[in-house]
Amino acid sequence: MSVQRLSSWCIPVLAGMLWSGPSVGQELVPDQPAGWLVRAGTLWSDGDGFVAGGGVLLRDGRITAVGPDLEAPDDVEVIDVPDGFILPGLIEAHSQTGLHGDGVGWDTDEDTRPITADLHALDAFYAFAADVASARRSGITTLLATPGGKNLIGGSGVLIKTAPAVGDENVVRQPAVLKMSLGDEPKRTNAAPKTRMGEVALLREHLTRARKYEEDRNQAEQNGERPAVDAEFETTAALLRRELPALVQAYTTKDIANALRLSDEFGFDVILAYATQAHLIAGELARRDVPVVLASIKGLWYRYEKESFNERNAAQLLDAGVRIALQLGEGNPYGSGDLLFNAGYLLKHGLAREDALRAVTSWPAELLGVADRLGRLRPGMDGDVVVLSGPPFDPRSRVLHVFINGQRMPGE
Amino acid sequence: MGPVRRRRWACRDWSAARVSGPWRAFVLAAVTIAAMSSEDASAQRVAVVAKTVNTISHGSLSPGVVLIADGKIEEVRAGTETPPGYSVIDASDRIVMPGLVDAHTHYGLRNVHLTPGRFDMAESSQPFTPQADVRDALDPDDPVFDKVRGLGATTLLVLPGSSNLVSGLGWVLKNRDGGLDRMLIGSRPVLKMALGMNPKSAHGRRERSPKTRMGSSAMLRARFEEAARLVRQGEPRQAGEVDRELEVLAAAVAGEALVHIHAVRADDILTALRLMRSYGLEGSLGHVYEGYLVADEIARSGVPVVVGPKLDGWYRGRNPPRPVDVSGRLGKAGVEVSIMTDSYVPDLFLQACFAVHLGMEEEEALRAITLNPARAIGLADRVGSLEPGKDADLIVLDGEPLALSTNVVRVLIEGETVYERAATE
Repeated sequence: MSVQRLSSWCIPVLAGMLWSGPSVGQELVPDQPAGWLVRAGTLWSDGDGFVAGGGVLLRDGRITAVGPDLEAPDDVEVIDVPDGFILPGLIEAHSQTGLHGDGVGWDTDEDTRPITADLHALDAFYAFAADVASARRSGITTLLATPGGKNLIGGSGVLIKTAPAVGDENVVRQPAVLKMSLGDEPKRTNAAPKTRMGEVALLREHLTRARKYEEDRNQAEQNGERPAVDAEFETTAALLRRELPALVQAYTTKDIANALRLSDEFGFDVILAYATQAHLIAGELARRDVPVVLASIKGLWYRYEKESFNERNAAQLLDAGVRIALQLGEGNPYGSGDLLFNAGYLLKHGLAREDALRAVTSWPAELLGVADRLGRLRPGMDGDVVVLSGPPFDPRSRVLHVFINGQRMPGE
Repeated sequence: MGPVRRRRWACRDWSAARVSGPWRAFVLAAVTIAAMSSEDASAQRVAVVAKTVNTISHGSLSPGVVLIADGKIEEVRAGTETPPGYSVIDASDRIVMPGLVDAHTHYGLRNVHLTPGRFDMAESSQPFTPQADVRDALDPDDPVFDKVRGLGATTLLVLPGSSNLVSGLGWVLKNRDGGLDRMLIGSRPVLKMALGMNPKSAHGRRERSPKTRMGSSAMLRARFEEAARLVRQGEPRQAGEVDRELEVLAAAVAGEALVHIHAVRADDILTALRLMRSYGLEGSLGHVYEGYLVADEIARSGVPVVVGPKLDGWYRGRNPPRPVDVSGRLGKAGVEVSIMTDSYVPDLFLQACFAVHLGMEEEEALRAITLNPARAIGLADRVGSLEPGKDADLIVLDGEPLALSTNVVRVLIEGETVYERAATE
């Protein structure tokens, strides 16, 4: 999406969110020094695996140096955790965190009509919600917040940091994806659809109209006219221009196939979410380079199509060459945001330790197109860093410090 | 899934027995079941040699040997030597511990692999259904039994759901093949009860009682008063006067059935403790997400609790500002704590790992999935630890019990290997 088009609605949105007070976030994040030097016994450097002894220098919101023998400049505060582990901030590649409201209703699904492509998760994301704080405490520094899965198209998802702040310094990418959902849930939500046939027919109609909308706008621009804006088709048109992917929540191979067929027909990119049966068609997904965002632990909420959940899904997809990332998933019983602990459960189901770490750091950054900013400990990347008291995936390890944009988050 | 197993025991057998006699029929059923299971016990002598034997009850031996005869543990000894006449299972680079005990599951009652509609957990047609019996619904061929066996669960309490004030009878199973009669082990049945939200919403929403916590307590007390009167009379009533509902409650009052009471909120927990005290009910509490708020009261009562599936005190509607180590805090207060899967989370070891992650001591977390649940279901004389005389229910692990990467590589139930992890897995 062009910057002009983005700003046409993004700025009012953010301005609207700011009315409740301009510096709420800053009050919650105490005064910070000019920079931080974090040293620990072990550092996760992705390409090289775990590296013994090292530090990360954070300045002006970014990582400015990474290495074994960093000197601390005078104006920088030093944190030493000799037994600790330093990781890049964790990224959850699909989530409704921050959209649940704080006990006053849920803001996840505007389930009054099956296609709400004009909605934006950013308008519901509440940075001060308890679940955002919990995710942050557990080391998630960036998440893809999307509408829920009740509508065929829920709206756009935003890639956003979890700092307690409402300014656009938290927004990494908006809109980041168009959220779609196929299968049981949209069938049970609205007056229509009632079948998978209905699902695809309604989506096809919307996509056809979005394609026409895009053509009309291009024609108007060529004629030197000012094209009319229709919010219903703005994000979908960006999808068809391949400026963002569709994040499709689908569980069964049937629903995955429907998503792929639509993407062939209309020409857009797909990231699958949940996709509990994806391992059954792993070769096809690898051939098409369709990435999958998976929950590592089955949620508590019962639904028939979710019962196909298989812990070996992740390992089998990786073996076939499919790109993956891990998410917590709906009804998750473990820790309201504890992505690292959840990822660890796949270690006993065939996932290598290193790959489990990548699946919550560099891989989600890559498949969401922000690998130049997030997901690795490298100079120039955003200052998003997590310090653990011990090895990742050891149940006894705790998150000691979380830095977002170079700022240490309040001790909690 | 394996071949279809034949059920040797028709479902009606125990129902018929119960109609013909008073609540004591439970004992009869139990004896019958025990007799049937003993004939299957292995007569073999087996020695399991391990890098470490964690007995749970008496510390660890490294290296250690577990000697098994006729399905029972004969001896647990240090070293690696095995007496002649024993077939040896070499786990000399492995850790051996007791099979896990899950004191709150619904396995076999929701076999979604058969049909989407196969959901037999909750007879929510009325608030009292004590005569409902999970044996009449339980599908022993539900593949979930195989799955959790490979995750170390050897003893399972299968309970009805929590939609009713009294939902019915649950039974303890050994997680082995051969049909329901081989799984049932003849311990006391467990009467499932529920307080708070679930019965209120299942019935109150349909414009019938209970709609409030006042209603649910009053209804429970009225019915248990009757049951207590029946027990005080000592003898069954005249023929034709049969009230099966009441007889099951009477069995609980008489201590022939245990109770397991679903109680999430702190006030529901206290109500449950009062009910148990008033009517002399023996058993445990389930879920107890707010148990940490009334930990001392629970400790004083001596009633064991089974926490989960959520372990961090977070549940919809009432989240503490921070995750709470519910099980650890209850344990520190002196409560006998077990951890459940509720069959909604896959894995007791994962549950124990998460409890440790929240702050629980490792040793406590291991007890909470072995010996403590064995005590909570009244079976500590048979399962939950590696001690002479107990059932030889052992699991062999390829790493530390509370590491997320550790796998169960072998499971023995009463001396018989019922699971071996394939090399390719």
